[in-house]
Amino acid sequence: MLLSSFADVLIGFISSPMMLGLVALGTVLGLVLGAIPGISSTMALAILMPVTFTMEPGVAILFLIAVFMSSVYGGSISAILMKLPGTPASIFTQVDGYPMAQKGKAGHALNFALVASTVGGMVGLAMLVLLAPVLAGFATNFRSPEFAAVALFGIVMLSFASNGSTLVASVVGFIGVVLGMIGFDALTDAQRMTLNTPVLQSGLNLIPVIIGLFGLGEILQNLVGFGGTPKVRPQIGKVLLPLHELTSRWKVMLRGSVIGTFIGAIPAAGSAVAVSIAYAQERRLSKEPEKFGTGHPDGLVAPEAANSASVGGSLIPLIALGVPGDTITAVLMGALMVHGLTPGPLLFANNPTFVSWIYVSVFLALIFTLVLGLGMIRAAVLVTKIPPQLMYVFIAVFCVIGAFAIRNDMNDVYVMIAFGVVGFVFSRLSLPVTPLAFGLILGPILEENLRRSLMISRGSWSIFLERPISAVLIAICVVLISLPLLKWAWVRLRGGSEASTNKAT
Amino acid sequence: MTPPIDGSARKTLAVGLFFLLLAGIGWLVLRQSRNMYSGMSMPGDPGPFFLIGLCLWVLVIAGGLLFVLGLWGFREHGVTFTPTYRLVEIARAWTLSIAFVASLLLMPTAMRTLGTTFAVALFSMVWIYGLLTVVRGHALRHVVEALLFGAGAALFVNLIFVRLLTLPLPA
Amino acid sequence: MKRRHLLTSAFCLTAATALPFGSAMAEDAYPSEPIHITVVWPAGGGHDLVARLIGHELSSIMDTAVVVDNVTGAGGSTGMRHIVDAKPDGYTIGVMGLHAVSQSYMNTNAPKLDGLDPLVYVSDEPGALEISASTGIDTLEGYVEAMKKDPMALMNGNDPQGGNSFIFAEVIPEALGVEMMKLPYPGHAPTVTALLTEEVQTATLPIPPVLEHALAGTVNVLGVASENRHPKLPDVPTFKEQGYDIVVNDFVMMVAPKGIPADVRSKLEEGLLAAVNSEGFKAAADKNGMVLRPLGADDTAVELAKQEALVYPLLDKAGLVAPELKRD
Repeated sequence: MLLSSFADVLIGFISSPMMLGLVALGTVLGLVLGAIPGISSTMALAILMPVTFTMEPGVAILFLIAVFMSSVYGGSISAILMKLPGTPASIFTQVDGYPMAQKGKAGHALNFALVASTVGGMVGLAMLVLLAPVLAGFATNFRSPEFAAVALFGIVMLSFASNGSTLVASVVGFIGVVLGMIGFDALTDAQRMTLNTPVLQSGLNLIPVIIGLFGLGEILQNLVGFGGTPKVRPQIGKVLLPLHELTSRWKVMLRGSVIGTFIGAIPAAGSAVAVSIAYAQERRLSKEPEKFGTGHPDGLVAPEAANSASVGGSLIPLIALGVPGDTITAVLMGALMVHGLTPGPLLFANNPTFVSWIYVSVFLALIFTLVLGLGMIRAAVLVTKIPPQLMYVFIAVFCVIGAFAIRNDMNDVYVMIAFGVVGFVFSRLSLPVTPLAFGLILGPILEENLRRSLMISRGSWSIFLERPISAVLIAICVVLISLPLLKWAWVRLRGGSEASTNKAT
Repeated sequence: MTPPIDGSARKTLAVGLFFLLLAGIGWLVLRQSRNMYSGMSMPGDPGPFFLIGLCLWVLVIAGGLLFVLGLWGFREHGVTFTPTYRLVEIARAWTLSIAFVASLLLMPTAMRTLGTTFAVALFSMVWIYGLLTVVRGHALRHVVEALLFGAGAALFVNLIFVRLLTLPLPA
Repeated sequence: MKRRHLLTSAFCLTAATALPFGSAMAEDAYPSEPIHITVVWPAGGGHDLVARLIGHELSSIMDTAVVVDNVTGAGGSTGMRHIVDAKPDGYTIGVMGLHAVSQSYMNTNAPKLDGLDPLVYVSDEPGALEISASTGIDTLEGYVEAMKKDPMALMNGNDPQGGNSFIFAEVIPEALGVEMMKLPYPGHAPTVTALLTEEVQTATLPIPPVLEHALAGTVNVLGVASENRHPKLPDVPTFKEQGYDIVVNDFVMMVAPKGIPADVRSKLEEGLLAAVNSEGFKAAADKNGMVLRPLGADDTAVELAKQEALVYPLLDKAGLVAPELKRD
């Protein structure tokens, strides 16, 4: 019944040139706005929302979903080409995407990202259509103890997500956790590490931090000894990717998509957590984890698939429960409300066609993003042709404007510069940077839910073991932590050489 | 035992010190917040400073550990001092990065006084010229290029961010 | 190549949004530039919605572009400071509610209310008490009885200290004579989620975020803390009708930085009132469960003073007023 109404709506759409034109327009706008560093998906949606005021609600939603889906991929373009992740969800896209582009495989990287995000989006959509009630049930089992356990799980996974010593990566992650707590406490409104100054009271927003750490930090490193030996500019290389490169990665894409959908479906966890866990998981499973971070396609494909899949996932609580999955779906929900359609159990129970309408919109947006995105790759890779002298300056300007634009606050520009310096110092000290961003995302989720759980249990820590999902997650964490230790002990017992086990991997 | 950071005793020691320094700063800042806090906390709540304190302790322990490992490494491999001329070289190599940060720090002020468009134009022109000159030496062509691309960057920012998206950037 | 792409689409975008490209040169006739409405919460929230809807109407009434800026952070104080610090020329105005009143006493860096010039009052957002339908309780009496029997049985979800549903959670149980176990959530959406996942059994949210759930029957509204019944929930009695004198509400008002010229202020007041009274805004506001009560600038100032007088003692009692900001 669901599928037939899906088909009906789809045919209705395809036979209307006006609708198709609108999807195409939305897709192009989303791609371009998303690709401009400094404009996030949230912003693209908010900017274009007024355009839809005069449209019919359904048409407006179609248009906005097209913008939303394509801007998710658009954000990956600037992450890959300029190391400027425009949204928290693309922080892991640049980790392997940017090195690929630097090696002259920008076209390949964009191809990987596009295909992975289409596949991820489709898997997310399929799970949304087929499993929404099941997944919604799963999501409602998530209360504070489970959120805390997921965040803990993420933090444990983080130790696998970066090169170099696991211990050092975890410690850097804890620094990120502390940084994430700067500002007002979400539960008591206490000021924390603010020195009573407005800059710190605002807290560290993720976007200025990541564009500073990655974008500006990269420029500062490149400027060291700049001019001594002119850097070889990367060739553009082949734009189109051999098909087998993609098909051989179906497992990676599928894993990323499933992780993305599930985590996206948990309200408030959001896409940033989904991509982090997808990346860490893929690196842990990989046969060549040491190549992650130097341009390994798997390191790009997994988070991209998860990123797009989390869109489908985050629509599940919106459709099934009427609560937004993350900040972007919150804007989408706002747009629905502008048109007098407040998501909730009633809206979708009373308008089943409207649900199909949303599904079809997501489907069409994915297809259009794939087609138009492929067309754009050739133009986009030309960015790598720009000589570094110009590129660094342009990126710096984007960093400044982008940091300001996220909250329209000049203080965030200073935050961005400070984290550029942090990124530089960290690289001089051979410390990994990604765990810092990771801690910044997960720290507040962990803390808030940990403390709320303890309030519920009146201070008894056993609450985390009494609930099945959190108990299982914590058990997995314990196993993951003890596994390397057990391995080490095993090798020791068998008289393996000390050097090979102790050395940082 | 090999020092954990890059196998280098010097770096391990430096990272150890860095972590201890961060923990120290963190502790000082946290103490100030604790003094400011007068609200009551909910029963069962370990309080708004619990997790920060925990993380800072981890930082202290890890920093101390790396510090010791670094010292150990020095004892095993012997201390090698960096010759002064190397230090001068390093300092020179960093000049551009430091200058870049310094000029970025001036940007917010420049944007407020000159307006965003002019500040961007100025920043881009100076730096494009500077970077071109560092690589290939001074040439009139570079001045022209710098003016052209600097103006281009400013125009782009003005068109997209100031006019089209009407961000409240200082005008 | 990329640049040309961007430019062409930039022009498409302009055509689509119909923003005036070169603003008129005439400085004398207000408004000659885009008006910026500052929202101190992220896009997608209640205030953001109000600002975008009003902005849409205002732009046709005043014949100028209206832009919404989300200046967020520090519990709304960053945005409030942005408004207070803006040039008082009528091109920067803002949306505010109860949060600004609380913050002005809780945070020494938050702007004082006397730095603001109220323009119009948009709506009341009365407090209410909601309970999850799964508890089987659907009357206020039932709730009070259950709470008196075991205060720990029903937990309440609300904002962190200073937020509107926190204030409601201070006022309502006291008048009902019960002890309420309050669990803080950062914002209304997470509170609704907690209510639906049954982590908490009750909530003291205003009506709009729970309206759909109340209509669907998953959430029962036990009482509304206003003089009149809520127009979207005509079957839900007020607290007064049930014998408890509880009237407490958040509000939405538009403000400007202190010191805008009198003629600009009156033009804005007139334009904003027309926007709030427009059919388009009224229809959208009604669908979302807002209780409109459009008032002019002078009445708005009176309302603001009233709210201040109500909130200060509550904050003081909860020990939330910063020592430097204590009133005698």
